[in-house]
Amino acid sequence: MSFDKIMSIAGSGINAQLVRMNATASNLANAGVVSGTSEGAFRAQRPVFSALLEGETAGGFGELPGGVRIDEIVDDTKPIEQIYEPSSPMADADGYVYASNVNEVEELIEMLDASRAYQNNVEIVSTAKDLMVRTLEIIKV
Amino acid sequence: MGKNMARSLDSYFAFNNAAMTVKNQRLEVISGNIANATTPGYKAKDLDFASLLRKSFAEGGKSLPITAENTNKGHLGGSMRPAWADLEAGIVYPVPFNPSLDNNTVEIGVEQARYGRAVVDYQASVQFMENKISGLRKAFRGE
Repeated sequence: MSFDKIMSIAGSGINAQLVRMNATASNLANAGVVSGTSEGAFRAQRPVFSALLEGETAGGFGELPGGVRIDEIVDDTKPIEQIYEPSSPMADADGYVYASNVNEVEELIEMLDASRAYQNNVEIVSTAKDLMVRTLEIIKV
Repeated sequence: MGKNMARSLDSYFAFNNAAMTVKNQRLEVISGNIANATTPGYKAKDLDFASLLRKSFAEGGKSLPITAENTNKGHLGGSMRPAWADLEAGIVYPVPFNPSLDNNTVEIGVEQARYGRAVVDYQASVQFMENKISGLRKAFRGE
């Protein structure tokens, strides 16, 4: 039955949005983290998605043209802020700490967007399920 | 006799079979769009029934399931691959109403509307199928 395929495609979408929400949660949790070096500062994590083409596989979904997969998770490239705070235990020799580049407002928007996209995929699954049941009921006519 | 019966049932339902296959495929294509709503550079797809039908007719319509009749008793029935089964031919890339920064052409509202329409279309096909079956049942009972 090709309804299975619809559900797998929506499932790959649900999975992708869940990873996105996880990344957002992690970013928000680490928003206040400071570091003693510029390199060590926390950078917001962003999953990058790509569409599955014919013959490509993604994790547990196997071959699923039309679905989505997580290509990679990249660091946000926004600059790291240098803050003068000599009293901080993390401060470097010059008294600076390096804050994360997480923007809380941006993360909240990201979370809203991910949650809406997640709901859209759930709706696809639920509608496909209804159609599947309706199709099976042909037998009862 | 039994073989003829099966064959005529086959052609009785051939149209519904084609319709439901195409409509199911459209649901699949649109669910792919919604799954890729946040994929950078993704181009939204749709299955255009009109271009499928045109292609079918361009090939002389000879492979349309309705006209796939056997002209000789020795012919094996139902083994033709009808033109509409080549669903890739019906894939189109709709132009978005508004461009987006990441070149993704999925507009979620548009896709939701398309999906809703496709669901209703599919349900209509199911309903037609049911009507045909209940018609057949009536004929069998001879009431």
